[in-house]
Amino acid sequence: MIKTLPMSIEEIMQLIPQRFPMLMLDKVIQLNEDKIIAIKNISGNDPIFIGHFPNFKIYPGVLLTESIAQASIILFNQFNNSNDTKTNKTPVLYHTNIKFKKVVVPGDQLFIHVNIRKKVLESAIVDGTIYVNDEIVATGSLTFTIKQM
Amino acid sequence: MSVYSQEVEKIRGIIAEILEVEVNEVEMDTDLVEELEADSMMALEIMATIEKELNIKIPESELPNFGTLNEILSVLNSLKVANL
Repeated sequence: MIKTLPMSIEEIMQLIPQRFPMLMLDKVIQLNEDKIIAIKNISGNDPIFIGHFPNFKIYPGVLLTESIAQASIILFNQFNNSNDTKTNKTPVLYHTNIKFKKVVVPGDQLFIHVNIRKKVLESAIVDGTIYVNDEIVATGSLTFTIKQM
Repeated sequence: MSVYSQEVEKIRGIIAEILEVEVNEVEMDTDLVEELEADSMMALEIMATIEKELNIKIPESELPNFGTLNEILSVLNSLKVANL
């Protein structure tokens, strides 16, 4: 492992190309060659809740999937020496298979666990599970192609 | 040791699910690329799912040999022999 833990959002931004409002990780608390655990805090102040939904706030499942994808990018990019995310190879989603078990609402803290199941050349499959208070809120797998961006 | 018929049906089901075709479309010599429009990512998903379901490790170098159900079974048979 080459990164110091916990990894701050500033360090996360050196490894992933996403920026506001698409930063779906706040901190990385565990990272090794095959596994990452990251945290995302859900705030009622998040602008996504303006539209999702106007009368009650539910965090979109597609953004839970995105948080697993971003944790996966850190997992794949952790050994890159370059801090320039523009020159790094970035995993691009090919197929998602995530099941959503419980709704996520403001005040929830997501614990995003991702394991590499299979990595072959420029392709990879990961298993991801998101917990809130030790309960699974989303789980499944993502398949990536890894491309030069 | 060979791949048991129960495992053959399981693998056939895995292929059908990932390629989104009916199970009976996956015959022993059906070309997964030419006839069922599989791509390299689907082949990877088939390989990874078989590994998980059969609790077996398949070398990455075998990916090009995932052209038909028959070829996949040959790979699995050779691995099982190698693991004896």
